[in-house]
Amino acid sequence: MKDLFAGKKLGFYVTLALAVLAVITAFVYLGMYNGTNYMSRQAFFLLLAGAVLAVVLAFLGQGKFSPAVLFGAAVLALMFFVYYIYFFVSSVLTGIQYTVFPVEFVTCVVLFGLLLVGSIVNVFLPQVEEK
Amino acid sequence: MKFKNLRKACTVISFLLAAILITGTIIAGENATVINDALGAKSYEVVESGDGNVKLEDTIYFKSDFKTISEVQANSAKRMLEVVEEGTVLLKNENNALPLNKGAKISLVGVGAYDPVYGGTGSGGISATTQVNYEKSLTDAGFVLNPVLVNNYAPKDENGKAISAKNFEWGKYRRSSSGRYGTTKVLINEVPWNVFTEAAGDSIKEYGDAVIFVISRRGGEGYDLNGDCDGIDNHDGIGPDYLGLNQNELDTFNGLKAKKAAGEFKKLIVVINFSAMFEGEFLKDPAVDAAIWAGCPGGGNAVFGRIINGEVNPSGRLPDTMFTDNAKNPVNVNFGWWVYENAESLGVSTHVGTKNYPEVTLASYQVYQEGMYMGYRYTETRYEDVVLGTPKVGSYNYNDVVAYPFGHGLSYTTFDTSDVNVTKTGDREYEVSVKVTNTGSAAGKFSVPVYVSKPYNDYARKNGIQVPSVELVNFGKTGILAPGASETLKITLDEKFFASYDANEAKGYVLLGGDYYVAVGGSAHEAANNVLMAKSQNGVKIDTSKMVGTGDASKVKKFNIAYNRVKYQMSDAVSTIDGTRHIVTNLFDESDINRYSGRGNNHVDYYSRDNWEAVSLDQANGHATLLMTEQMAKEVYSQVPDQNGVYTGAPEVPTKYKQPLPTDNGTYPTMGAQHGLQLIDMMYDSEGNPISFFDPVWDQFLDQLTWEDLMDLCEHGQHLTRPVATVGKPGTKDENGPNGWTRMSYASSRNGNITSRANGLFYLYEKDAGHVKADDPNALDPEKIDANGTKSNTNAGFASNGVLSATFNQKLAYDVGNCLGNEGLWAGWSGIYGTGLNTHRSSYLGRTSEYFSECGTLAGLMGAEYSRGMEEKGVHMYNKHCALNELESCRHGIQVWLPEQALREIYLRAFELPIVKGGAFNTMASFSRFGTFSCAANTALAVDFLRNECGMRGIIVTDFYGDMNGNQNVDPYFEQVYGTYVGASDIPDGTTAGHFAKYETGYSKMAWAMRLAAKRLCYQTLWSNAMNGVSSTTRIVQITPWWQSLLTTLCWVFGVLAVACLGWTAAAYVLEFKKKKN
Repeated sequence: MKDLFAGKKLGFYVTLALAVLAVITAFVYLGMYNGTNYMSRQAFFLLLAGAVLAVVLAFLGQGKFSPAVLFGAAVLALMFFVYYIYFFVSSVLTGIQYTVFPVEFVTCVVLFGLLLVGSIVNVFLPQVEEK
Repeated sequence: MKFKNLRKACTVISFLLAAILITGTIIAGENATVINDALGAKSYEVVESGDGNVKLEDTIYFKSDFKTISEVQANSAKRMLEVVEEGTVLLKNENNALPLNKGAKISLVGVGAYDPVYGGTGSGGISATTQVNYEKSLTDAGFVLNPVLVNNYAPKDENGKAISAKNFEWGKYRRSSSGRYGTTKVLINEVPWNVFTEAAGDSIKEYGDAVIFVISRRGGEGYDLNGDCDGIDNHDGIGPDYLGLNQNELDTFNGLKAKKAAGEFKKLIVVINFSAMFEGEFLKDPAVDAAIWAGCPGGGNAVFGRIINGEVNPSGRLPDTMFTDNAKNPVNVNFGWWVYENAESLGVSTHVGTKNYPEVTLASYQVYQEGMYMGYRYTETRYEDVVLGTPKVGSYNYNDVVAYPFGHGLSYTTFDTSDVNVTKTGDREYEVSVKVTNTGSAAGKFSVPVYVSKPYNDYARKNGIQVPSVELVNFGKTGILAPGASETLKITLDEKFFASYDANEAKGYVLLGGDYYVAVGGSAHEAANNVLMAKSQNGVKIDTSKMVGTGDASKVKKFNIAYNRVKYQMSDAVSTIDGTRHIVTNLFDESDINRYSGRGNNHVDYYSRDNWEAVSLDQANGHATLLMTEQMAKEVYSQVPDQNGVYTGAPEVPTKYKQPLPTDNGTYPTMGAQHGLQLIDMMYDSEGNPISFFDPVWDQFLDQLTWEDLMDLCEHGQHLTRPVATVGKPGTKDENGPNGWTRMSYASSRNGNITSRANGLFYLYEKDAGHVKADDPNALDPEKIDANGTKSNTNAGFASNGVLSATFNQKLAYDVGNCLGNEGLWAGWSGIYGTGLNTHRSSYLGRTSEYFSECGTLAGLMGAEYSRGMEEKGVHMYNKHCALNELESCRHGIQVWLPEQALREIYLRAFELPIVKGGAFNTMASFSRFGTFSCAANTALAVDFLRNECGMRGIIVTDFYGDMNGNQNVDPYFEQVYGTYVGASDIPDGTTAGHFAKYETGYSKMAWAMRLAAKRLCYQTLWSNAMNGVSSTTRIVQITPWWQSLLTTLCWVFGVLAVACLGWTAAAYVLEFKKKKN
């Protein structure tokens, strides 16, 4: 187990944290929007697939690709999230529906946003010690 | 390595931007029509492919009555005033309290006087540019207003500009509302009496020729007026009452009475500034010298002062009954919405939507239990039965119930009607002749309503036909008569209005056998009294001691008509489905809970004049109660066959109610054929005759459309119809009404570019005059064109439709329609979402400003002329909201149950006459349901009634948008694919892009339904002003709007950049890999 973490730098741990965040985001999103028009299954599976692949790569010695995988998954998942929820957003902004954005929407926006920002930063972080 | 971070940054940024742009482009593409509209961007152009010898005038199929925009605007200004001149109703004028002399000193009281309600909210909104408040109107008319009050109610800055209500003390007392959209709680407010008296001091004595107290109320789209407010709860079951005086107003009223009694001022004049009827008991107070119902005056309020000073003599008549107390109006017992208490047990969601739509869409209902007895049909009929001594009439004191009757209206002069004669002039025509003489001292106009009293005989009783005491059948109005002058009016009556709908035995219109009394002139109550006296002379026993007022039998003519069930069994119009006349028979059994095939144990006792004792005034518990049945549940869910909405009350449609549209193996219509036919070719045949809707050449034309064309036409509305370039169908631009164009400009000037609709006369004439840019013959030059054309909101904003009704002047209704038609013609609007033809069933209905009257015949006759005036200018009416939209607070999906007689003789008559007599092309479907079927999914309404019986030629737009598929967090209750499939609606007022895609194969019935909708769309476009400027050599060229080109370019730029960066990254890794390997 100790060898698994040998020679790992900050980026490696950020990758793991982001993978966890991606899984959390996926399931929070699922929990809040499953069965509604606003649920994108593509976004859900992209988040899970991105997280799993990033972790697998990280532990298979290909950790330098993990940030890219996480970033790609985060961007594409966010786009699917946006695509599926934009009508709702427009209905709020144009005054057809809610007085304010509900907590589930704000929660998802924050999670997707954190994931995106984190995955962008992670791209620039070293994952393992350079030999 | 030294470029590693740069490479990463470039990759991240380009990938992110490409993803955002691609997603944004997809979303923008799905909403292109809305974006085009907002940006004024064109998606097609009309270009001339010929030799340029076509004269513009030869392609103007709908011509204007005016030569310039200035003339159009002058006409609008004139018409707005005329409506208020003739539609203001003088309710009371004791001892000729009015008019006041010019120069009189007046104390103007009430926040509404300084901040009036000009119109409704939502689609009832109007242009704001020409509005004049009561203060200015009176000042302009030569009166001197109490400056202390003016400075407190509406202070102005040193430049004479009104100070914002937020910035002065009494601003907080202005009418307001709470809730995000001003619809959660409506607040009357008003200045507290102690605050008023402290500020006013002795000024009222100085300005004491009269006190004018203005009471204003506002209503509009999306909310009714029986909700939360700051009115007084007098425990009559209505709760805090928005349509009675609130405490501050009552204190003010009582305080003013005391001041008048103390001799501080001479006359108390009350003005009701509300589109429907206020509770009128307080107006009967002897302290009130004069009272005026002003409705919502729109841009015509400059007239008010001239009414007060006598320059204008009011001639309006009430379009509704004014009750003393709305709790005495039995309709209000059943005004609201209720939920089937057993719905959940049947698996039907009773989820209440959130926030702005707290509605139950699948299991809510309302019963029009009053049936025929609504408004004056109730008050006068029960009154007649009191006088006739009819059994079971119950306790009913007319004076306690009615403040002012339907048709009531005074003048500054007096009129006498004489030489009344009614003759049968044709198979179904009667001609009323009446001499009107001005017997007073002021010039004025006088309207003459004509009513019929039908026999309530054994046949009617046996078959449940309800026969009100009097019903309006037509009306006429004189010109201005000088004192002593006379005019003989000739008014034609259609005997069909004498017929009653018999849903039980004849299942059609019948002439009941017996004596018919035609009463000429006066209010409904005067007519009822006149008929009573005529009946008395005819041997009918009446108790004159129970009469309220007196009658005059000389104003009534009697006819005896034999029972006839054949004469009106055929429709007047030719069907636009099959080109024949149809038998008029029961179409709405399924909307009458007593006849509904799936009624179960439900039964409602509709009101009958045989048992008035059954009428309940128990506002809390008196409403009709129903249970849901399995059939109701199944029918409700049948209208969502694709189930693409989101059910918040249940995870999805219960399995047992899933009803997808059936596949079939039928043949699809021919598509994409090349016949070389353009839409303009479908206008006239080679001999110059209009080509019929049924001409086979239409099949050839339609064969040219592709599947994509059909989808595009059927899936897009949002105040437009889509163009089809290949067949030369221009798009149309439509806009909200009904009291004026909600959004208006003849052209827009932005950064030196003029955006204008290609079919608008403004654009066509300016272009033809050569006022184009030097480098673009299709672009107008802002330096050369008439500057009036680019000023926004220079259009008419008319008074509420009730005021127009109150004019009792059909010519004026035509003029109003014609005025808006001319505006549309110049601006390039080809359709108006209006006029509003629903019924003033209750004054608590939020949208009364858009609707005409409690009487379907009055609404229908006025609406017919309004429609005719508009249609003559190639502007199609989308009369709304067809039908039964007499509730706003649960309008989405509510199930309305009522007897077919009332449906036909009141609610649908208002829509029927504008189509049959006024040539109205289109309708907008209501959100509500007839029984269980949404109006936009109801074949009985759309196919059998509107198209077969009425001969409606155009399309039905449904207000469908997000709010029917769950996006508003209400349960979805209708899908447009279903409406189109059954032929009940043609386009959405929005976009349903992609909804029809799955029907490309295996659903031939859907394909044919889409083709029929497309035919109607093309036909109505052909006969609209959208074709102005189009000749046989004109071509419609589809173009990509600039913003879409920009987005596409950016997508490519950043897409390529992202790919390049990814390539760069891959190359870097390959090099690194090789380096390590070596």
